[in-house]
Amino acid sequence: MNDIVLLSPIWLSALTGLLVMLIDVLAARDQRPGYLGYVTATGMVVSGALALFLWRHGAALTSPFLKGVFSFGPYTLFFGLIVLMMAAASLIIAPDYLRQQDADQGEFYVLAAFSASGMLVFVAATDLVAVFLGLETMSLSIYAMTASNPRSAVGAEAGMKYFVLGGLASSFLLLGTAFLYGITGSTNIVDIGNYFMVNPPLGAAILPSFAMALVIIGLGFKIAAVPFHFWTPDVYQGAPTPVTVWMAGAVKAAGFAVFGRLLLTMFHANTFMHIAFNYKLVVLALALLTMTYGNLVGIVQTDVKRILAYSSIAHAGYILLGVYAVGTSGLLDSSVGFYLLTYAVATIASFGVVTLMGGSMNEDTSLDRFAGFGRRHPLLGLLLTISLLSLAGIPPFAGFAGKFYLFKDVLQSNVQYNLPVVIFALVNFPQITGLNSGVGCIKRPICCVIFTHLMLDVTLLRLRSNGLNSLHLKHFLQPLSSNLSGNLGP
Amino acid sequence: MSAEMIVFWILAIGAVLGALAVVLPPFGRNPLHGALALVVSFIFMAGVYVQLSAFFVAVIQVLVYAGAVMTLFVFVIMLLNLTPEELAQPKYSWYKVLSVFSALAIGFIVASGLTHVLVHFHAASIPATFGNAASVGGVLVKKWLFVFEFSSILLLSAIVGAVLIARKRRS
Repeated sequence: MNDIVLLSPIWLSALTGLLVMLIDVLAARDQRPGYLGYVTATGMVVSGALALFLWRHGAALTSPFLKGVFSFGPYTLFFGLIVLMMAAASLIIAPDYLRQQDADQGEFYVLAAFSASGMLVFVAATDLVAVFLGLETMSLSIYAMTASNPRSAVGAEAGMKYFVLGGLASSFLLLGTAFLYGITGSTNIVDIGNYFMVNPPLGAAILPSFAMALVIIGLGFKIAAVPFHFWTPDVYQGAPTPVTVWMAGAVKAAGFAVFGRLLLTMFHANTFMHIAFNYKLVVLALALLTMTYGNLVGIVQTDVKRILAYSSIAHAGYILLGVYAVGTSGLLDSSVGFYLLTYAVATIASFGVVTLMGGSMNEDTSLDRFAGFGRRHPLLGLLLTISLLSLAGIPPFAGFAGKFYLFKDVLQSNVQYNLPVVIFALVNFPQITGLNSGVGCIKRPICCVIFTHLMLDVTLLRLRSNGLNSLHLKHFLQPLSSNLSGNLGP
Repeated sequence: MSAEMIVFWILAIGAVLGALAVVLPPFGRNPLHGALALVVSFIFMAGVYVQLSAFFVAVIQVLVYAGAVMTLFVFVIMLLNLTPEELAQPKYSWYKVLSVFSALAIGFIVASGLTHVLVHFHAASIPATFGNAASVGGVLVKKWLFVFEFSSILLLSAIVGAVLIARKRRS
């Protein structure tokens, strides 16, 4: 019985998919299937409510049946909630957009629900077999959703690109799993971590390092870290915008949850310290590459969807920086979860406005179309400005707090090179690019960005000398953090 | 060299040669010949699985891979119906040279890693029921029940996705 309760968010979202499929078949043929989007969104919200209930009351529930395969600790439920929230938001903006594109089909929402349940399995899994199953269920539905507009050639191309490259990345993860099983004799991530703790890899340790590299490549693809990002701009631009929101938000959050959990559980930095190939250094290199590439290449883009795609690449870099700095306490106790939350909200809002703009038969999301946008649609312009400012990390918006606590965590942690890394991240002007699309909303955003960044730099460096403990994330997130003591759970 | 080793080497060399024949001339030039070479490789691999006591996997390998999956391959080749002109001579670009080199490099890393593991490898005694259908089924419906059931959602989403992309528009 406990199993059924604990698994309820997962099976409820899968059941929503089945229900929507049934309604779609039974409904009148001339009925537009847009309302199914709201049915599916309701299913996601109910799943989220169940996850919230489990967070409050689920700690006492144990299930020997699920032990070792799934974990329903606060870590899973926190990221599961982010995923479900973003899924519901993407579904709410989908029906209108798809109707305007004349591409609304009931199956779209069925796939969305299946994809969400796959993401929950992905996030909850503590065994590499279940991780892979969740990853595939999540991705397979998204490939089809990307190519779902039958009239859009770019959409079909994007779907094909995502499908082929996604299959390749999954095979990397699967090969890594096979090697880890070959080395340790287990697919459970806690067992694998314990094995490496008892038998630390020494010397060349080719096979453990190779397995680790394969796992990082496989997951790095899903979170669009440079150099595994090549699909991102084309797919984000070609996909229907609600699917882009889905990929930039929910998939990325799920990907980071699993990335952090797998790396921190399987390859403890202190057991892999004896070999040259330490995951911390790999993650650091990925983080610096990703944020620089996303910010630099984003500047020259002229399409809003592409700009936001590069912005999401750059944000992945900052989140990776947080993963780099995480100590033994785990990802949830760090600022990464909070950062992801602020990123998620701002991304939904900005892509939502782009969805409203672009929803016509000939979707055009070039920057020129956004000139004077603030005058034509004052409220939408304001919303877009706020979300872009939040993405850029300008106070008083949430993105500023996210970046602030992230940098503070990096400075505070005892990882190597923390000061140069933070300075690098600060000069790496985040999302100037994103602000370009605010043309017409506010006059000269760039000066304002530079000014706030100088402010942020000075504050952080001052704080570093004056002691950082006065400003801890936990004070900010008191109700959340009281539940976070046992973060990874069994 | 024991009889077991001799059988292993026959099976292993057969599997590798079959895999090479998929892409290399003379078979690899024609997609259908390539697909048939893949069947040969699959069947030799099934033999290797038998030697590893994984009987159930060996049977599945023949039934599903050499049977069902290969039928799909042949269907796709038939539906594409490529003419000899479309199957033009392959061009040799630096991409291909690079990919051969990276394949060799990865193969070298894997091989050296595996030989390192083999030095420390002790063959464990396995129960008599290891790898037969009953024990595989037992594992599937006990520890992995939910994961096993959830894989039906994966397959269902593949079917729904194919319908979504391929079907005609409703007017």
